[in-house]
Parts: sequence; C-alpha cells; structure tokens
Amino acid sequence: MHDFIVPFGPQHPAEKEPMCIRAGLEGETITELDLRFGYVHRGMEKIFEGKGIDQGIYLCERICGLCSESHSMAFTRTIEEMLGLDVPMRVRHLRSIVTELSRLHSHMIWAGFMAHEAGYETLFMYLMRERERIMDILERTTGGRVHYGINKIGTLRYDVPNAKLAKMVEDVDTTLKNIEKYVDTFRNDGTLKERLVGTGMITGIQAKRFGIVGPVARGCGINNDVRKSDPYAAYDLADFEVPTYKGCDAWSRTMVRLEELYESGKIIRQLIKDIPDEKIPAFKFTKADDGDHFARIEAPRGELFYYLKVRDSKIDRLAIRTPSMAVLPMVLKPALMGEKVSDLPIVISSLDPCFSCMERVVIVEKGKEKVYTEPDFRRKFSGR
Amino acid sequence: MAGKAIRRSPWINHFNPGGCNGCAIEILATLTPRYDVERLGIVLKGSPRHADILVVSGYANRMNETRLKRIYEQMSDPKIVVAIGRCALGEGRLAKSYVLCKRVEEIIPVDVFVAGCPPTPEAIIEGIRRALEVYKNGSKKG
Ligand code: SF4
Repeated sequence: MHDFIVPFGPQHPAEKEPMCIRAGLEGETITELDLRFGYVHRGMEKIFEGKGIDQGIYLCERICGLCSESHSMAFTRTIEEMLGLDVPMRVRHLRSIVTELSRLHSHMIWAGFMAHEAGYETLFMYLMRERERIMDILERTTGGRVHYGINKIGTLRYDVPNAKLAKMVEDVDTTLKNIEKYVDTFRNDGTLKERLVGTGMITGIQAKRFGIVGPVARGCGINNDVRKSDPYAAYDLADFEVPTYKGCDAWSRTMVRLEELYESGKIIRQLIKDIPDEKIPAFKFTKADDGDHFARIEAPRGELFYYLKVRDSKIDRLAIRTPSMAVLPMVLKPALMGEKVSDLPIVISSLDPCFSCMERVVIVEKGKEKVYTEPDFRRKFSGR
Repeated sequence: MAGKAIRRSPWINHFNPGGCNGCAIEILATLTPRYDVERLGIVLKGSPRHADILVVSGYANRMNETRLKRIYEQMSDPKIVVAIGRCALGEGRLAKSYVLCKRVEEIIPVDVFVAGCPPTPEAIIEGIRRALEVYKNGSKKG
C-alpha cells in the first residue's frame, strides 16, 4: 500500500551514525517502515568474555562515546555491589559529578542536533560552542574529552583537587546561564513549536506497554528515573526534580531534556558544596569470587542495565540493555506511522537514539522481532 | 583546476562503519565554533558524491564492508581517505571481534591515519591538512 520507497541511510546526511530505514510512502505520508539495524554491531558482549574485571572498565567505555561515563558507572556499580565493596563518599560524589557533566554534554549535543534537524543551523552552532566549555571541564578533571577512564573498582584513578571543583561550579553556572537564551528559543519559538508539537506521538499507554525509559518516557508523563527510584553513587544526597511532560510528542521530549540540563547543574552544585574531604584509597583489586549480579543506572538516554557474571576473577558473561535498545525498536514504528516524510529526521532525533549502544543481537524485521539463537548467530556471522 | 579547488577548500564526508561514537563526535566538534574548520575552507558534506575527502572512523564490520566500498566508489576523483581513531587503524581490543572482518585499510586505500582513542579535534584537523599535503606532493594523481 505504498507508492514508493525512500531509503534512509545507512550513510545519510541527517544522521551521524549508520542506520537504515526504508520508508514506504503514500504521497508524503509514511505508511510502511522497514528498520534495518546492525551497521555498528561490534560483538561487544563477546569481546568482554574472558577479560579481567579491571579491563572491563576500559572496554565498556568504548561501547559508546556519548555516554561512556554511564557505561563505566554501571559496570563499577554492578561489580561493587556484587563484591559488597564499601565505596568512600568522596569517590561517590566525584563519580556522580562526572556523570552529570557527561549528561550535560550529551544533552547539549542532542539539543544541537534537534535544532539542526529543524533547520536552525545557527542555534546548533551556538549550543556546540557552549558545549565546549563542558568538554573543557571534563578534560581538565578527567584527562579525556570523550573516554574519561576515571573509574576504578572501589575507587577512582585519581582525586580531583578542590580548587578544580570550585572552578567547575563557576564554569557550569556560566554555561547554564548562557544557554538560557537557546532554551527559551526552543520553548517559545513559533517555527520550532510548529514542527515539534504533535510530531512523533507515542501515547502513554504505548509507552507503558513497550516499557520505554528515560526522557522519552518522561515526555509521556511517566515519572521514571533510576537516580530517584534506585539511587546509586551520591544521588540520594542531592535534591533534584525529575521533569515530566504529558505531551507525548517531540516537543515534550525536547523540554524534558532541556530541563534536565538545569537539574544536572543543580546536582553538581550541591554535590560539590558538600563533598567530604578524605583521601581516596589506592586501587588494589586482585580477586573476585564467582557470582553474578545485575544493576542499573540512569544514563543520559534512560535506564542502563548491566548483568555481570564472574568466574575465576574473569568476566564470564556481560549482558547489557541500553536505553536506546529499549526505546528505539519499539516506538519508532508507532511514532513514525502517518507522519510526513520530512518529519522523519526530527522524530528520530527526538528519540535520541545511540546506535553504537544499541546494536546487539536483536534484529527487527518489518515489525516482527527476531531474536537470533546462538547457532543461528554463529552461522550468520562467524561462518568464515 | 579541480586540484586547486581541493587544496584550497576540501569538502569532507564522514562515515562511521562501526566504531563507538567517540570519533564521530570529535569530528563534529571540529566543525563547531571552537575549532571551526570552515575558516580553512573545509566543509562537511552529506553526500559522498560532493566530497573530496572521506573521513572514516571506526572498524568496518561485515555489514558495512560493501557500503564503505560503495561510498568510496561514488566519490569523484581525486579522492583522499583519512582514517580517524585507533579502531580505523585496526588495533585495540575491539579488533578481535567476530564481526570485524577487515581493517579499513584492507577495504579502501587510506592516505592518512590519525591515531588516538579518540584523537583530539586538533589532531583531526592536522590529519586533514596532511592529507592535502599527500595530495599536493603528487602521490595521488586525480
Ligand atoms: S578509536 Fe576509540 S573513540 Fe574512536 S571509534 Fe574507536 S573506540 Fe571509539
């Protein structure tokens, strides 16, 4: 029932990452969708097997460049809870601070993209300019712009001096003050509203049924945030709100993320204010008992779930459920059906997918979900 | 004529055939006001047919092998390839994966490698500058 098919990707100007969607069109309306994933599948979970536990932190940051800190956070949380390690308060504070900083930079790059897709190239540039300040803070405190490598099991690789933290608050405040103008543009600008309000609707019922997480769920009025419901690191000490909107459309999701920027700023300010002065223990992890555990944290895109099984002090199995995986394959179809083809990039951006995180074994074909079993998988991918 | 234009204002096209996003966002950062490669005439283009330089970040997995080759073929001569990041070098722990059959180098000819995980935006700009030098020195005939 479509007139013609428009392929979108895997290399497409509007998407920075390879993904492939074939949209069947009737006139300008999308009536059929064929999603093809797997363009950045790297077999990450398999690489983890047999690696030492401290090597896991290095590797899990390389799952995704945008939320690398969240991945290492989830990994350390899993292993620390499994071993029952007692993590000093200062370490916890610093970890939360770095995670919030990475949330800031992730949401800002996303806001820039949103503006770019809506045709606001200048807004994109302005937001990216402000984002560089956050990147500078991250580089100053952790040594890396993208992969920080600051977490170690039970401790941090190095302490961050208090003087740096004071400067950090200043810089975060400046950034948040500077972007107020741009947030206002998102909130009030007529053109943006015209394009975003009512686009890419996912109803609350659908959201609940698909079990979606993160800002997309919060844009549907579902208040779920792991930082509140299952606090980790130092989040139980911080006082912050979880913004929710009931619009269920691209605009609500935009507003949720933009308000989260300010909440992150709040958390950083509070945690730096009452960070305890203590010495960070040296890293001395040698051996782990066999066992398994799962833990979750709130990544910029939603709940990130890690399952870890350890045998002989080595990683035996690591299963990851990333927020993009939970959101995108489920809601892309309901969100896009009946939309105009020109809204396709906007809707995808508003879901904020991260394909590097997402590409695991599940392959979605024409709405039917097909999960590969191990023999299938071997036949398909490693029969060389 | 084309040679002159390319030296003055190379247009780049970016393709990520299977790395983490790290390199991709650093390439993006080079376009933003802090590093602003447009002042050097470098413009990011969506279509490979418009581009002079192909910037590849990440490994090529099975799925992307033919795509990468196709993108390279679609570019018009003279074409330069810059591989960004340790993934594209074909090193690192990730290189042992079952889906990563070939290095970028084995699929398409690469002129310049930029090492780092991820390299800084400065290094990426330097890499593109070197690529132009390679072109100028005539090792690549258009
Ligand atoms: S080199 Fe590093 S940052 Fe770049 S794509 Fe590979 S893992 Fe990511």
